[in-house]
Amino acid sequence: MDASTTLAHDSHSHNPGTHAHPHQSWLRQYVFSIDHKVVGMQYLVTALVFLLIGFSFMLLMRWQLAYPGQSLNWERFKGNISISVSNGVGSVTSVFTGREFKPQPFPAAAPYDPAKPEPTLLGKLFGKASMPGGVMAPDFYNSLGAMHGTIMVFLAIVPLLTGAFGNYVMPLQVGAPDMCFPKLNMMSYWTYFVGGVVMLSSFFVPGGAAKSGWTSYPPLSVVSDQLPNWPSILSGQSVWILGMVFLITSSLLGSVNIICTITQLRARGLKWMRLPFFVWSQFVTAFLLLLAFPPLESAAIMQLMDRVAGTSFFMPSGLVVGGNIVHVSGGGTPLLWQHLFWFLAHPEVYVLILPGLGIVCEVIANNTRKPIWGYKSLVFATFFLGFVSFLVWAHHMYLTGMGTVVSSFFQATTIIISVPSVIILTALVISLWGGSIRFTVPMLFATAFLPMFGIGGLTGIPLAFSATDLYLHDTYYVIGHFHYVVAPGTIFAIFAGIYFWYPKATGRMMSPFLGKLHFWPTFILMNCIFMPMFLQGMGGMHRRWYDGGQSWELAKNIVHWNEFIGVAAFLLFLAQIPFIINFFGSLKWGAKATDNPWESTTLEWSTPTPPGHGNFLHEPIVDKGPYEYSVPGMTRDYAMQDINDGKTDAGPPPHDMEIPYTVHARPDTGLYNAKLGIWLFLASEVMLFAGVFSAYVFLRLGADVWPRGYLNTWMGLFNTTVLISSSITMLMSWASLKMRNFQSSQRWLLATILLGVLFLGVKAKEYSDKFHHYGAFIKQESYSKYKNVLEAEGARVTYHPETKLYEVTGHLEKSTAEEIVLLPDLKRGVPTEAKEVDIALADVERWGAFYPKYSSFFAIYFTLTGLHVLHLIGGIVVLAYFYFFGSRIYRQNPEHQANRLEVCGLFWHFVDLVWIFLFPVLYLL
Amino acid sequence: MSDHSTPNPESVDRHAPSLTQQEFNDHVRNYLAIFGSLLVLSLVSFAFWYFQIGLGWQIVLTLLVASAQAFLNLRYLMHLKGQGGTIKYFLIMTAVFSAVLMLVSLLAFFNTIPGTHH
Ligand code: HEM
Ligand SMILES: [Cu+2]
Repeated sequence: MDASTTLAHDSHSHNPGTHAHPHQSWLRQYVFSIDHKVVGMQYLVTALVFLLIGFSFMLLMRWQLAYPGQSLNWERFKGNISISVSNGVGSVTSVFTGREFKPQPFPAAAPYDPAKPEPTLLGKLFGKASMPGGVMAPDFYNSLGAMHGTIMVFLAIVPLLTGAFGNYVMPLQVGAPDMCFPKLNMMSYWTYFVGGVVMLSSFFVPGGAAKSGWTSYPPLSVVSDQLPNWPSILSGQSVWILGMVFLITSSLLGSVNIICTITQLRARGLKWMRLPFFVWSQFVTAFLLLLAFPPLESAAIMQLMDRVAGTSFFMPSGLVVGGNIVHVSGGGTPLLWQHLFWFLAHPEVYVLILPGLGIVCEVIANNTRKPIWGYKSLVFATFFLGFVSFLVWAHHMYLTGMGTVVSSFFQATTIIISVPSVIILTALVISLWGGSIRFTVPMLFATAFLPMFGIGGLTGIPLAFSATDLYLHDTYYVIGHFHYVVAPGTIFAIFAGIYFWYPKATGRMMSPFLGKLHFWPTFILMNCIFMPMFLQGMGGMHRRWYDGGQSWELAKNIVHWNEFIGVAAFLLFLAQIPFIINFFGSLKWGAKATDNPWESTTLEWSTPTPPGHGNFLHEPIVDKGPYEYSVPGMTRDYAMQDINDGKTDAGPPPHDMEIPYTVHARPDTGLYNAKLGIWLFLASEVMLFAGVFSAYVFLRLGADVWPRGYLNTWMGLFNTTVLISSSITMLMSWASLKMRNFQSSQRWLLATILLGVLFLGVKAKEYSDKFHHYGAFIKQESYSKYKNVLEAEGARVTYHPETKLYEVTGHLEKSTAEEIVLLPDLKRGVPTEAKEVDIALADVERWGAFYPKYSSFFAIYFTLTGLHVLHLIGGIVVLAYFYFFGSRIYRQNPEHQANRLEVCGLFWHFVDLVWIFLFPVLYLL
Repeated sequence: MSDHSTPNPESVDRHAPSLTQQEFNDHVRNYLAIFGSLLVLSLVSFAFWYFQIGLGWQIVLTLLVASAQAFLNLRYLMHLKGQGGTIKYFLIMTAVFSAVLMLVSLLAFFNTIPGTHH
C-alpha cells in the first residue's frame, strides 16, 4: 500500500519486541490476525495438536495389532476381566509377559452385552459400534487408519512445514514486512481450520469416519458409508471429501501467497542466488502444491458426484458388491481416480520432505559454522526434483495391469528422480565435513535426520522397479519406507526447526537438557517402530490387516514384532512429554534470548526479538550470500546478510515497513503483487480443469458408444457469443478507468455483469430442458417387441454392446407403475412427426431423466458446465461488488481500482477461455 | 522497498489518465478485431458440426480452432503480449504439466497388460 491508502505512520509502535498493533482489538490481534507471524503460530499450534491426534489414532491401531481382539477396557489392567479367547488359526506369545494371545473373529468372541453401558471411554466417545465390549471393531480400525494418514499428511505435516515455518520464517528471511497478501493468509489458516474440524466431525456421523484409506480408492470409497436412512452427503466418506476441499483450497491460497512473497517482496540486494535454501525449498514446494492439488480437487468433486448424485466417474459397468450388481450407469474407471490421486500424492511426498530439507540445511550451516557445500547444486537439484516429481506418479500403480511401455516410463523417471535426492543428501552430509560442529538440540535433530532420510530414500529404490514392487506393494515394507522419510525424517526436521527458531519467536531459549531428553529416546524409539516393519513387509505382511496377521499362516514368524512395535510406539508417546513441557515451560522459564542467539547469518536474525509489526526496524539491505560463516580474515566467524550486520540501531531512521508493490509494478518482475497472484491462481485453475478434461477423455474412450446430439447446439452457440462479448466489455471497463473515465467504466462493467447473467439464464433453461428429457434402456431380449414401431417412425435408438441394452430417448408423456409412454427423439433429418410409444417397465433395465446419473456423458456435462457456472457466478459477484463499492477506492487511488478490474478481468477471460473448449467438446464433438 | 526508497511514479497526479488517447484507441481497435475473430472462429467450428464433415476430421479441426481461439484470448485479451518473463515461465510449466497429466494417463489407458482390463 502506498502512503495515502495506509494509516498514518505515527500510529504504529516502534518499540522492538512489541507484537502489539495499538488500535486493534484482541480478536484482530490474536484470532483473526493478518500478521504472518501470528498466522504462523496459529498454524504451528493447530498442526501440533493434529499431530498428536493422528499419533493417538495410530496408538489405538497398534493396540489392536499387538493384541488383536483384546478389550481395551480399563478394568482389564486391574486384572478384573478375563477374556475368553476363541479358536483362531495361530496364536502369539507376548515377548514381554510370556502370555499367549489368540486372534478372535470379530465380534463373536468379544464379551459384549449391548444392554450394558459402554465399558470404554473410546466407546463412549466414538459410539457403541466402534468399540463393542471394549474391542476395536474392524470398521473402526479402518476409520482410524484412514484418518491417521489423512490427518498426518494434510492436517499435521504439510501445515507445519508450509503453514507454520513457511509463514513465520520465510517472510523474515526474504526481508519482507509481511506476506504479500495478509488477508488471504488469514483466510488460508481459517479454511484449514474449518477443514480440520470437518474432518474430525466425520467420526460422529452415523457409520463413522471414512474407511477407505487416505488414498480413498474407488469403487470401495464410493460404495462404502452409504446408509439407508442417512443422507449420503453427510456420511463419513463424503465428509472426508468435503474436508479435503477445504484443505486443498487452503493450500492453494497459501502457495499463491508464498510464491508471490518470494518473487515480489525480496529485500533490496537479495538476489535469487542469495536466498537461504529454506526459502528455495518453500518456493518449489509452493509450486508443487499449486499445480498438483487441483487435479485431486477435481477428482474429489467427481467422487462426491459418484457418491451423492449417483454418477459413475469411477464406477465400472457390472460391478458386483456383496453378491449384488450395483445399479449405476457404469462406464467409469477406478483407475482414473488413482491417476488423479497420485498425480497429487507423489508431488505431495516432496511437499512433505523439501521444506524439511530446507530447515535441516539452515541448522547445519549454522552449527557447522561453515558455508553449505554446493549451494547451487542444492538449488538446481531441488528444482529438478520438483519438476520430475510430476512425472513419476504411476509408480504407485504398477499392479493395476499396466503395460510394459508405461511401466518402463515410470520406472525410468522414478530412478531419475533419485539422483537429485542423492545430490541434496550428499551436499548436506559433505557440509558436515571439517566443520567445528556445535551439537545444539536443533543440530542433534538435524544430524539424525540425515541417516533417517537416507534409509527412507534407499528403501524406496526396490519399490521403484515393477518386478520387486510386485512383491513389496501394500506390505509393511512400504509403510516402513515412507515413515522413515516422514516420521524420523520430516518430524525430526520440524523439531529441529522448532528448537532453532523458538528464541526468535518467543524471546526465550528452550531448555537444552529437556531437549536432549526429548531427542535421544525419540531417536531410538522411532527406529524400534519402523525398522521391524521392513522385516514384516519382506515377510509378506499386508499393510491393512486388521488382526496384525495372526490368522495368516504366512505371517507366523513375523507377527511377534507387532507387540514390540506397539510398546515402542507407546514409549514414543511418553518421550514427547519433555518436549511438551519444554515448549510451554520455556515461554515462562526459558533463558532470555538475544536477537541472534545462534550467531546466524540470515535476515530473520536482524529483527528485534520477537519481531514486531512490520518485522524490521529499518529496511534490510543485503550485500552477501546466506551462509558467510568462517570467512577468512574476519574477527567473528560469521557475517550477516544484512548490510548493517544485524545492528538494529544502525541505518536509516526507523519507520514502519509497509507491503510494497501493491499498486505499482516491481521493476525487475514488471508486475504488481495481485497480478502475479491471479496468474498463479489461474495456473492452478488450468490444472483443475485439466483433471476434469482427463476424466472426459477417459470416459469417452472407455464408453462403448458416446452419445452425440443431445444438447442444444444453437443455445450453446448463442452463449458462446454472449461470453465472448462480455470479455470485450470487461476490457472496455478497464481501459476506460485507465483513461479516468469512471462513468463509462461503470457502464461497461454493468454490461459485463448483465451478459454474465444472460449466460446463466440460458444455461438454466438448458438444464431444465435436460431434466425434462427422458431415456429408457430396453433389455435385449425384450427389444423385439418395440423394434418395428420404433424403426417405422425413425426413432433414435442406440445399442450398447457392452451392457446389451437398447436406449430410447424422448419426451415423457406418462409414467405408471407398469409402463412409461415416450414421445421418442427421431434420428437427425427424419421428417416425420414422432408418435408415442408405450414401454413396459418389465422390459426396461433402467430409465430416467437426463440427470448426471443417467450416463457418463451427462455426468461429465453437468460436472464441467456446473464447475464453469460456479466460476461465472464467482466472477459476477466480484464484479457486482466493484460496481457498487468501487468508487471509494477509485477516489483514493484510481490506478488501484484499475488494477482490481484488470485482475478480475483476467479471471473473467479465463472463464471465457474454458468455455471456448467446453462448447466444442460437449456440444459439437 | 518502501515509499522512502522507491519514488512513487504517480505521486505527481494519480488522477491523470495512465493511458494516452492514442494507446486507448489502439486498445479498442485491437479488442474489436479479436472480438470479430473469436466469433468467426466459433462459427467455423459450428459449421464443421452443421455440415457433418465426419467425426475424425471434425475432432482435429475443431480442437485446432479452439486452440487458435485460446491463443488469441491469452495473447490479446489477457495481455500476455508484452508481458515479462516471470508469468510466461510459470504458464509454460503449467501447460507442460497439464499436458503430461492428460497424455500420460491416456497412454496408461491404452497400454495395459492384455486381459487385465475390459
Ligand atoms: C511416528 C509415529 C507414526 C507411527 C508409529 C505410524 C504408524 C503407522 C501405521 C502402523 C500405519 C499403517 C496403517 C495401515 O495398516 O495401513 C500407518 C499408515 C500411514 N501413516 Fe503413519 N505413523 C506415524 C507417523 C506418520 C506421519 C508423521 C505421517 C505423515 C506423513 C504418517 C502418514 C501415514 C500414512 C499416509 C499412512 C497410510 C494410511 C493409509 O494407508 O490410508 N504417519 N502409520
Ligand atoms: Cu510416489
